[in-house]
Amino acid sequence: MKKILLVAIALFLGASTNAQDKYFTKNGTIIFDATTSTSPEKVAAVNKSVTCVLDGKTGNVQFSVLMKGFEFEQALMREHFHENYLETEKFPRSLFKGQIINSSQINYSKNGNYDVTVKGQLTMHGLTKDVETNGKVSVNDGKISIAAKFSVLLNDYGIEVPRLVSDKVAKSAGIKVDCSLQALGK
Amino acid sequence: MIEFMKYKIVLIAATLIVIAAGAYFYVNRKTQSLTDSKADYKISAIKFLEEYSSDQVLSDKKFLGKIIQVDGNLKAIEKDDQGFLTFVLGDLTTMSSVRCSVDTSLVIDESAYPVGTAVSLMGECTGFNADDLGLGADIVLNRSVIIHTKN
Repeated sequence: MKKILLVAIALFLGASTNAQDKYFTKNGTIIFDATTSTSPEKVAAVNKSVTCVLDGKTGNVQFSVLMKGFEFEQALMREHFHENYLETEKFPRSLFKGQIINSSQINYSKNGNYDVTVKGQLTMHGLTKDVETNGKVSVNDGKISIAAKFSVLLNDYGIEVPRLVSDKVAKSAGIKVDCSLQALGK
Repeated sequence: MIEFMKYKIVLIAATLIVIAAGAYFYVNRKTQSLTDSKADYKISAIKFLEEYSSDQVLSDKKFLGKIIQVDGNLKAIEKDDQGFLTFVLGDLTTMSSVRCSVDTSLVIDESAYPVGTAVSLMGECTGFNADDLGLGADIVLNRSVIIHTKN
């Protein structure tokens, strides 16, 4: 009986420690920008409902992005993005699974800004590609923020930009990630 | 004859102006608020989550991109760093929720909606995050507007 109790306590403590090492948000922001220098207006969309989980212990980081959540100011641009380019009915979710490779340098209990390198795989439009980018992790009074900027070649993900709009829509889209995380279990 | 030609030129010019104006407004039209929209489906938050959890593919076909009116108990109102609000609906005892991102053009006094209030919101369904990250499963509605408060 004592053994069972000890195992239960050990499991509970283990689970608590794990939960406190993890940080998450369901309100992260990603901006997708495919504006060219000759675009008459900004070809950019924002998604404010991005889910992100960061494991402070291992540096593992995951993002889940519902593609229909990208909003454009202009309705026609929005329609083209969802129906013609990203085909969001067919591919409703994008995922990133990766790791902060210098995670051991981050002290999550001390205020500071840390330059990080993230390596992983991005699945978008049904295709998965390796991605590596630099970013920043900020710790401010227990609040964890992560930010990163990188580019993806649309062609790598099977997204074709018609020649007719090639002066307005860039072949490479800028992705800007901004997430304020909270400790899981708090 | 000259009068007829003049009339024809004016008519063609007027037609071209109307077509050009129509094309301009079509290309530059803004994404509309859902305030005056009609819901494609009306469903409770719990039933909505049940449908998605039992068959995501079928539910995506039915709900994705559609305007949904969802009724349920308010679990929380979340405010991000930029002040954008998300109404979280569902069963208070589970992690799974229907998350309604509120239309950013609306000004809402969140103190009028205490936790546990029965609320009804309408928004565009952007999909389902299955519980593969250990955070509960979520359905997300975008550009949501509050329909009414039941009590």
